[in-house]
Amino acid sequence: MNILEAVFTGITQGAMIALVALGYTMVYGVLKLINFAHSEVFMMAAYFGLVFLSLLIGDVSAVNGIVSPEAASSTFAGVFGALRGHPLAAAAAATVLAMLAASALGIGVERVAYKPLRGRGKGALVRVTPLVTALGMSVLLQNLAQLLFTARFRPYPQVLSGEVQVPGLGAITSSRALILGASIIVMIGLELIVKRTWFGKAMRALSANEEAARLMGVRTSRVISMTFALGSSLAALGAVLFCLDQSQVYPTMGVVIGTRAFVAAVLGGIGSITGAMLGGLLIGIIGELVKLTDYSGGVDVLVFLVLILVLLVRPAGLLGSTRTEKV
Amino acid sequence: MARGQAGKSGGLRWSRLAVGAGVLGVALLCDLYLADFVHDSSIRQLFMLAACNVLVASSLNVINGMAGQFSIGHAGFVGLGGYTSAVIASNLHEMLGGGEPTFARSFIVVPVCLLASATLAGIFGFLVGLPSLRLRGDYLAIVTLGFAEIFRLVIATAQAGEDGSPIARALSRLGGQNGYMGIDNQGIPLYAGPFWVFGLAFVLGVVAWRIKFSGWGRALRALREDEIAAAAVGVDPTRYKVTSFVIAAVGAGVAGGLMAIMRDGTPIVNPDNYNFQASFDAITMVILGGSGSVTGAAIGGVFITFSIKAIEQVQATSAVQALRREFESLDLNALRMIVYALVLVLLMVVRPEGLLGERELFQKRRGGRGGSGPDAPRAGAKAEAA
Repeated sequence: MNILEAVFTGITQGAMIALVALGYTMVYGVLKLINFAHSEVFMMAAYFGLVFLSLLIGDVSAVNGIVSPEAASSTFAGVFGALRGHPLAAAAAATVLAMLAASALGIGVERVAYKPLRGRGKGALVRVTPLVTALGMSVLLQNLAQLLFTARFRPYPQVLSGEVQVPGLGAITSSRALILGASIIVMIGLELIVKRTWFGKAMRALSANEEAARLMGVRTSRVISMTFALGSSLAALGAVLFCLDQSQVYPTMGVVIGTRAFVAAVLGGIGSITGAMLGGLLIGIIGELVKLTDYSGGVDVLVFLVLILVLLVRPAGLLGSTRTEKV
Repeated sequence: MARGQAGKSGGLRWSRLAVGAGVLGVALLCDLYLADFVHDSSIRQLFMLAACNVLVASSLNVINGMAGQFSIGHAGFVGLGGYTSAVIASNLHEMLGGGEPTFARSFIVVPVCLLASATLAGIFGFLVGLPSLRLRGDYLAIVTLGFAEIFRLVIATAQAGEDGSPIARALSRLGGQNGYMGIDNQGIPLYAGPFWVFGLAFVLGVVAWRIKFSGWGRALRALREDEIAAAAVGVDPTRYKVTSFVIAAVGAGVAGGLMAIMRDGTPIVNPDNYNFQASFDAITMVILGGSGSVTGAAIGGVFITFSIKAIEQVQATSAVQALRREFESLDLNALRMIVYALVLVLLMVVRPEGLLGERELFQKRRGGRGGSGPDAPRAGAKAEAA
């Protein structure tokens, strides 16, 4: 495996990590809160994708214990049976359904754990309390997944096979090509949403000054919910793409990928959307390059070391802005 | 608190000395006779674990509660202390000739182990605290998390093998993912009996109390409420923040060191004991009791230790076993953490300041002056409104 190939693999990995990192960074942008539960939304989304895909292609062997074969062939067949025999259409539909379910989950997390705290508390507690509930939600979701789906590694049905020829690099698997293509399209789309739409404008206004935004008629509560929904659906897309590549689903996957995505968001400058993309790509490439050396187990050590070093030089991340505090 | 009163009345000072001596005496008696009263070693382990967790919570309380920083990597310092103490205890034990760990010998082994643990953890606390000059709030939290993860991963991924650099070889001797089990896997000699565990929990608890109600603690609280205002009246933010990090790390190092060589404990230290979950537990203890409150942290430490055990007991009851048979596809082992996280989130929503807030149990009311707990937040709210 040469360096060029590793860099390319790193870019695909990084694009996927960046999708998850965007969720962290958008929520931080509007709420100034590190949403630790985001990595678990990613994990839950992978399970949603797995369940929906299994139902849609009519093969429930991967989800035994979650959905019984009888229910799949009788109760759900009427709803999900239409796409049987078209695996690619089924995969696309499952992805959309997973994104919707993850959005609902994201909004739910916000309603339960963050909304009741907003505008309450005093002094130093204002910042710390939501962080604790965020950690609590993360632990809760992770263990809920273990309770419902058990700690088993579940195989993800592979609907995409074959290779694509890329000029200059040779053959790459079509799932990788899809990951890269989908990530690029989604990031361009997100950039357009944030820069060109009313919602994006409201989000940026909220990020700059919540009180002023509310006075200008922005319904802050709704914008926050929409931000969570958008971030969670991006995480769901990332989860489905991750499963295409790694083809395994397990309750602690959120910790593994979520941590890297989180580091990517901070590295790029949390709150900055371009920063999250840049950070994701960096983390992906670093991860793949380390695998070329003897220390392949030390990826996460290096990732955190890079993070700490970057933070020491640029305290707000690569593209983050530091505002001087006015007295 | 009450510095003036203690100075004025000699009687009070003597009564304090008597209380201190009394507690140490009880700890000594525990050390000699606890095994005769409490036959179940798992219960003894639970009590001592609770005392260790009180130390973990009170040390984290210095950063998270008093200084208002947010450290989410406390397990890193605890683990550093644990490994240091385990390695030194094993080697000292070997030097002293092996055999059963005796109480007399523990007066050599335990202080050496804990001093080393505290020193090493303190050095790393200094290194982690240094970025607090530049980083604020969330970013600092991330650095602490990064430190804890690096520590755990470095130990867990150290591969056995006699080639490579001396550092890699030394690390691989720590057992990697399987944990460290003393020299030749004989198990770590468990020297620290109840005398050390309960005694140190008491002594360091008093130290934490004195820190909170000293001028130093007041400066820390001022810094927490408004850094700029505090700096304007001569409180050097850098110095105080870094020192509070070092103090917290030293406390965590002692706690981890004690846990590793605790009598009736497990003779093994494992990197998985010091994962993010452990840091989260420590945060829960502090928040539950009320961040900033010394007695609150102690209550939190004891409560969490016992509630984890209680939930484990509940899981073994027939009702839960029947439930397990009923829903075979469910993994009920995860139930403990679900209950735990749910309670935490609910508590935060209902009562964000924890059980005690910043107040203390046994706090004497002082009229007029005295800027202890309850006044500080109000001042902070005012500063924010301005």
